[in-house]
Amino acid sequence: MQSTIDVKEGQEQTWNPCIRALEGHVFACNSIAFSPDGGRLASGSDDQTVRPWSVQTGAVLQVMMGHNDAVQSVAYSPDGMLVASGSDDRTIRIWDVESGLQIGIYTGHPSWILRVAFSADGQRIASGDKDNAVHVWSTDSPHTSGKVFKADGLWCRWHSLAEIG
Amino acid sequence: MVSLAFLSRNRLVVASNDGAIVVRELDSDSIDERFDHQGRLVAFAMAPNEKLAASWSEMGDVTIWDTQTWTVQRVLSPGRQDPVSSDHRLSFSPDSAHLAIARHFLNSYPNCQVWDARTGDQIHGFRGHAGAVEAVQFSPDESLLASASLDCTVRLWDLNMPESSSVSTSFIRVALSPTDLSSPLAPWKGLSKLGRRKRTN
Repeated sequence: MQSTIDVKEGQEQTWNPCIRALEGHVFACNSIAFSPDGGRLASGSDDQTVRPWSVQTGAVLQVMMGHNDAVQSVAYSPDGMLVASGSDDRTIRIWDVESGLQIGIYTGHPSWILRVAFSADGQRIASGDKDNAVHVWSTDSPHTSGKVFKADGLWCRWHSLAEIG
Repeated sequence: MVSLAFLSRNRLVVASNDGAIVVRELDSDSIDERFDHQGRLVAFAMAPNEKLAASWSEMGDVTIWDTQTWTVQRVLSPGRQDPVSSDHRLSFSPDSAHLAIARHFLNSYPNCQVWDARTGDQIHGFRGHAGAVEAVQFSPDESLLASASLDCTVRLWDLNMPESSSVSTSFIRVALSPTDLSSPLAPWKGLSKLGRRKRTN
């Protein structure tokens, strides 16, 4: 049996690996976080907003407004119900994902906040600022339950919020 | 500070610009681990399995560490780096197998990269943002990479495509006739598969 190769006319093909561009922020986008189920993506921007998006459709689901300066870090709670955002306005705000409403604020940092993270049980948030101070506080009672350490160098001790007052 | 993340058993890992990396327990005053990176950091990330960590030094290289011994596993060269530190620019995949790197400079290097954390090979290099990339994050199922940029957009990148195809390619379509793939044309099977998976923009 004889096999032949049939060469047909072709054309240049481009594979675009970018499947979606989420457009809406009006200034630089600094931080992103997927929801735990992967269905949503939250973004924080220099335009002072936090925006959750549908990964499936690319549609913006909320525009969370309240910060007075650039948003540097966003994080979903482990149950996907809350988003925490840290900002150059020295606050961390907690948002309800469904309503888009701000339901909490932490104002203990004296300088710009660079990073926020939820604990695995969702009960606590750790936040770090430009001066290497790390605050760990409860989402239930932000201003009474927390403690602080400085991450300068390799030796760092805890201090209560009352101590640093 | 360049990085802050929760680990298992209510521990916190903190990396500061001066190169100090500290793992400490939340509910005591004890510090589990201290590691001095010996040089200023622009970014740091701990893998979810806590066995690997990645640090980005001001010198421009990304080092992958074995966190049991803090010995160097791999050194990656993602291209020239802006010395301004920014968190979120290094991110491990949920299975800890891959490391995503967000770059500032727009030059010949793609500013959104995915590397194999074990072999140290670059797997994907994504171009498309019109500005520096500030943050990268894998989706929980590892099918997508999200990137946030100074160009005001967030982009979602498909991680399920073949390694080589992130670069546009052209080829002449090849068909087999008759459909006898047993021999000697079996190697062409791969080409027809590539054709099927191909997408147009």
